[in-house]
Amino acid sequence: MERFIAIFTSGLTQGSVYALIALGIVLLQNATGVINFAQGDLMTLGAYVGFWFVVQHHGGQILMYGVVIVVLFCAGVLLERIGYAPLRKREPLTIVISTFALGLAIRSALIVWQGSDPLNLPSPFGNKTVTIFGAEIPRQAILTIGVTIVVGIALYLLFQRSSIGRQVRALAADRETAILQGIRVNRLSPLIFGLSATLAGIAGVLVAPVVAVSPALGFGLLLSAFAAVILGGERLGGVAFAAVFIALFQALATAYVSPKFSDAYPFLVIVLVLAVRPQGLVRVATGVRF
Amino acid sequence: MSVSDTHSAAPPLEARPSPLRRVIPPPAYQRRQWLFLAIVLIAGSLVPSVYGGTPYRDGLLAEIMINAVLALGFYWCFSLAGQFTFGVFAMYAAGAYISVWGAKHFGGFWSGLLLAAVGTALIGGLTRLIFAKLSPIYFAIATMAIGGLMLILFREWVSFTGGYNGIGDIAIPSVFGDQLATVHQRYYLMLGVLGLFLVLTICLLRSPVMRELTMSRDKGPVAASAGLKPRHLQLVAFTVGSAMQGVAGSLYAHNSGYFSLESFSIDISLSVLLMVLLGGMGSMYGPVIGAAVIIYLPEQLRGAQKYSELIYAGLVLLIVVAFPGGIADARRIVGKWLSRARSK
Repeated sequence: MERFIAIFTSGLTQGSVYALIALGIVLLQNATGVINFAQGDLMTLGAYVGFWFVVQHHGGQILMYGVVIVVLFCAGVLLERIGYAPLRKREPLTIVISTFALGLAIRSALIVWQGSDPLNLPSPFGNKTVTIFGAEIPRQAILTIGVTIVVGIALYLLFQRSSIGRQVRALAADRETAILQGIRVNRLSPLIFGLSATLAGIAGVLVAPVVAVSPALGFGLLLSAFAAVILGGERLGGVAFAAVFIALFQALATAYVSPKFSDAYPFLVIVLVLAVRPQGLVRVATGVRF
Repeated sequence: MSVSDTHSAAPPLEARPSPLRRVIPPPAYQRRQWLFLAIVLIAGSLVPSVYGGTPYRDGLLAEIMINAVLALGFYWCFSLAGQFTFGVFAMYAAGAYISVWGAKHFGGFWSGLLLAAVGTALIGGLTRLIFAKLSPIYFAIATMAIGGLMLILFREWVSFTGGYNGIGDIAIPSVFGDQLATVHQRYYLMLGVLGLFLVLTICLLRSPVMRELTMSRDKGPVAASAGLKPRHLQLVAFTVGSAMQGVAGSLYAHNSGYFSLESFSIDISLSVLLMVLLGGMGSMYGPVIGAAVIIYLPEQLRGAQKYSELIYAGLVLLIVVAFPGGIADARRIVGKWLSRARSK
């Protein structure tokens, strides 16, 4: 039982990180039709900015979140200006290639900046743990889950109660009609890019104390996030649950089936879902004409 | 970056003479593909005697050849079949491992090469078949997942691949009973394979099938209503492309006496994409030119190695945004500038 709870919580923590990355991808996909292959690297950037601020400049942990959010928002806007704005009217695949290149640019810029050796960001709680039903749960895990829930609620409110949220929902429901109704996509897209990058950055800061931070960190998690996006059917709520489901599946399968194939389980989910229900779970991404 | 840009570079409507007066040949016939093949073969066989000689330079030339074959395979998948794939690195690895295994058990390099081609064709074709209904972006993600799965499989299946410890005792290629013991000799073998694949590509480009393939790629539903079978055609082109990638892996394996799983990562997919983008996706010259530039140039920029990936990424962005046609399209762009300058 204790083992199960420990595994379950670690899956839930991992799921929170997947969910934050996947939410950023879906947010952007809904608003602009772009699938962002740089999302994982934005997450790494978040982790590195956190490391830079806390370890190298001895900044406060709370303040760090603010710094990461601001830096990542700017990075997202920059990404939009460089990699999306000039290509808006081109094929979706072209934009995918451009985001992929942007991701590589971030990754290699991080290597130039901090080197490729793995780093470690200290957790605000150190190694302290909480005992729940006899299982020792790291406080960082509780923090990760908590922050993700808060972010999720904030996103929900933003989507349901604000004008921006209504515009994004309209774009997601019917892009052409929404634009005919006067929604200014060109104004909206830098904002959404920034917001989506911010989500990735928060994920990076949360996951950094648990794992070794290296430039390739985010790209490895990207496919798990894609699995969540695909399984969740490109809806915010669905994606969040799918992310948690995939992480739990991964954690339980690693513990009870085979630890050797731990990194293969998200791939398996992608392959199975795409092979079995290509049109059911997934809205087919069509060309963006505006 | 419409793939069809360069194929439809016909003069504007009003400038076109009436079809009654002159029959316009298909775009493919206006290009000098056989001339390009001759240049590649002649230059390819002359370069080693001018540039080569040291093991390092011979190795570099061989690497260019291997990557040209690999990029040509990607060109078949991406430009001809219209399916972007991230799985190039997995096909390359699969080709290498199957080939080593085949050469060991079925007598020699050639059976290994053949098995690698057939094996990767099967994997590629099956992938395409299973994910036939996906949109291009989801197909790209699916190939990424398949590639990742294959790499994990190769990592765990140590008896077949040697895992990270690597695999040695690789058969040395031989032609008509003569062993190709040096890289210099194997280079000509690779040149021959590349030449063969280029001939195959030219035959396709100049055949009516290419017209049908272009239509299936760019206007799938319309092609279907015109009586074509878009998915079948794309499947065939994708399978052939996968086989070429597998052959590139086989050439790599038999050129190196020893290799391990570390040789294969998703970075290969990226550099191949860069080769095809840089060379020009709309033309068969692209992969060859791109491979030569991408392999040769970083060797000359030794001091800037730290920044090499950053430069790669910047290049991809620059090409995607500003020069969608790549180097192969340079003549057209320069011509456009010249005519614009003249008209001023």
